[in-house]
Amino acid sequence: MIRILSTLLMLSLSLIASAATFRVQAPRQVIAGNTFQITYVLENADGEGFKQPDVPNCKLLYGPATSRSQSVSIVNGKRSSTSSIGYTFTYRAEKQGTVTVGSAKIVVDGKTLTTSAIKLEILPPDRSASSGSQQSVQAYDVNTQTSGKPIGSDEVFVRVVLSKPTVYEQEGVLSTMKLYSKYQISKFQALELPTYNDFLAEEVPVTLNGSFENYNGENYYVYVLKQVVLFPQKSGVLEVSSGTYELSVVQFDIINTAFGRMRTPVDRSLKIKSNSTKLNVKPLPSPRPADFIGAVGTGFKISSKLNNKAIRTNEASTLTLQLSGSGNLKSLSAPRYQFPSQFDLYDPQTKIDAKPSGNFLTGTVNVDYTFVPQSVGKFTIGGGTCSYFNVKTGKYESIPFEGKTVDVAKGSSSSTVKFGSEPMRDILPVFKGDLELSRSASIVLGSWYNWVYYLLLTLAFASVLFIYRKTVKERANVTLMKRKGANRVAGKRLKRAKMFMNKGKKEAFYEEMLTALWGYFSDKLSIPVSELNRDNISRELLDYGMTEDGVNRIIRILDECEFSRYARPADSEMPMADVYSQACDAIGEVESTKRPNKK
Amino acid sequence: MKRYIFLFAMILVSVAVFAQSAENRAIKAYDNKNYEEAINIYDSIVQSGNVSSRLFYNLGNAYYRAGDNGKAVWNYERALKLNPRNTEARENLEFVKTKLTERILPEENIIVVFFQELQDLMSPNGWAVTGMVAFALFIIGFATYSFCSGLGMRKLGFFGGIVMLLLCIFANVMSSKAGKRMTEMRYAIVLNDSTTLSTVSHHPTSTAEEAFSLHAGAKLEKLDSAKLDTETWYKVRTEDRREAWVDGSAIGHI
Repeated sequence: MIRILSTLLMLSLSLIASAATFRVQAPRQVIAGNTFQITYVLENADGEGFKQPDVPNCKLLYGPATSRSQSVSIVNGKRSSTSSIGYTFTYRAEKQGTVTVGSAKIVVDGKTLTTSAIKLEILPPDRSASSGSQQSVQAYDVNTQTSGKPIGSDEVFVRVVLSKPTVYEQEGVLSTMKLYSKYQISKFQALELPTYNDFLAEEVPVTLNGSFENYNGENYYVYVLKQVVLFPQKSGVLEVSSGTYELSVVQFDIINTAFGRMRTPVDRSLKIKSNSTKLNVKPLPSPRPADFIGAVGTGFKISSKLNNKAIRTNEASTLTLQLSGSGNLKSLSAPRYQFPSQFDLYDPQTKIDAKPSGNFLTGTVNVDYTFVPQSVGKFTIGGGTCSYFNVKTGKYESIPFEGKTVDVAKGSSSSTVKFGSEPMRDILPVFKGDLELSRSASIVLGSWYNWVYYLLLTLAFASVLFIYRKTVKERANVTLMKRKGANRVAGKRLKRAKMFMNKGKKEAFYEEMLTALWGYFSDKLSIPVSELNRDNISRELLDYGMTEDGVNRIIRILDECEFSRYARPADSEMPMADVYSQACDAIGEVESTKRPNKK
Repeated sequence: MKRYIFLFAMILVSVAVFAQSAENRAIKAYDNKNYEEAINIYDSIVQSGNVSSRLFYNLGNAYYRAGDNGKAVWNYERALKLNPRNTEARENLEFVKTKLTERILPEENIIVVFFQELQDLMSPNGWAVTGMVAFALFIIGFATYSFCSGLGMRKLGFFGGIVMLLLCIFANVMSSKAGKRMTEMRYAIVLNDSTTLSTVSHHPTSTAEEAFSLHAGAKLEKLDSAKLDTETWYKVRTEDRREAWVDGSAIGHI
């Protein structure tokens, strides 16, 4: 039993264990003269025959250093474990340049796993560092980033990088805003966002990832803050500004203690002024073709499609023109079709679906022409040509878009039928009948007869109430109402009792009979059921004007019911039918007794 | 006595005949696309004091055909004021509004709109009569409660009576509101294009620097009025809730 369980446990564990992976961890950029590490990590397996690749331009200082780690996690009751072995090599970068580090190999269970090759950029060392000046700050050396050092404008700044220095009007250019810093950035906030006057800007989403970059002989941490594709709206020398920013950088306090030098990070905030870059915008060559649609870019194409299979009179059909390509898709004017005059036209609807890519917006512009033919026949929707400016060739290019021939069939004849959504084309006709003119509107509310009506009705009713006040009082008297209703209520109960009798349910019958009788006397004599007993029933009934004989009969029926309810069938002296008819008679007798007028 | 009655009847008939023939002449002029004449005839009927929702509707149509959208809107509004259930007038008003130079969209509160529509279900007199009938039913219900012996009937009379009393109160409130709307001259329509409104806060001036202009067809709510020289100026609120003063000659009262 235990063995089975442990097997199951092992099975479940092995199911959860992940597959073996082999990967490389290395920096993307290093600076010549600095040491760096490359680690090859094998996960969830034991390997043998590890072979590392050569790293050009670098000298192996130490390695491999092997490290092992194991982690177990239980999530929602599921246990998973990861083990990993790391082979770490320490190199020193010797010569600048971009090198490719090949794949490392390892054999796991007879299979060879390889890592993917990586590119490593070796940047030249800082010019200032090589000149031997001790004061200069180096991005890769924390020891130089001591607090109290003034932060120069060449140490933290924002730059605008344009993908091209010269463009045509309406031609897109990718503008990248980069933050260069010798220090690590701890906080960052835009005080004033860049404004793009004279441009149409299309934002490209960016992720804020830091990397090293060598700029003007110095190495910096570089963050891409913002990327936009800009479409200049006029020619000339235009300026692209970077905006102003507030940020905090990290400097280190170096304290000499008994245990050696300690570094404490210190935040230092500073403001960065706006930088700007000039962009030279050339006007589009003249003369422009007459059918120029304002599109500047490459690879524009036009296709068109009729969305309805059958075209009928008085039914809306749609012709869609699709313009696809790369360029200023958001600021061009779509080409126009020539529709025959027998067609009613709606305003064309334009849908733009474009994403920034490189220097352009790439995507499609869909223009829906909705038309309603008014007569039957063969019609031609005239096409034509349109032209755009190709920035690659620097010339205007013409694209034809063909017309469509449509057969219009007869649609629903009810051209006068108005749909809820269909807009009115004209006002409704004048009213030709009697205009029912009147001098002034007579208002009923507040007029004398309105008041008289309410007054009279109220008075009439009040007087009727007054005259018949005795009747009303009687009706309003709850006790009296109950007394009058007693017979009816009892009647209902007796009916139910009769039902039980017919079914032969003795106990239920007697219970119902008792409830009916007690309830009846309670209502009739205005005594609560809880206070009712034989004595006060007979007394009140005599008062009520009944004969002694009658009262005795009633008491006997009550006794009979109470006795028979718990007695065995054989014991009952009277059959149920007799009890029932006697009770009915008794109630009838009480009802027929005239109440003495004494109270 | 007999003679007077005869004379009175004669006058009534002649007025009716005059109005009848004027209506026909207006329709004829309208059909012949002679809209100016139709406007003149309808205007003379309005001047005579005899009005109706349908008359203003036809006048609005004639103004629209003649190209005066501001006055068309004004007359449709007047037609709707007399009879909020004049659906043709409402549809034409909506249509003409789409042709206006500018269109201010009023801020609409859904509850207010609901009560407005409820109020428009009946004319003020319709509501008043409803109230009267409801009151009679309330009396009947109360009588049933007082005089009937059956418990069911009494309950019906009691609760039915209460419902009817509430309905009576509600109908009278509605009647009062609808009647107020019909008789009050609370609103106005701008008749001329590019009418200048002065936005000086306390008094109107014709040469105010602080001013904005409205186009024909804009609806205004009148708040106050003041005499300036010989002209009456009105303090108004536009549908987008700006307050300003406007010259009385540039607006048509509803």
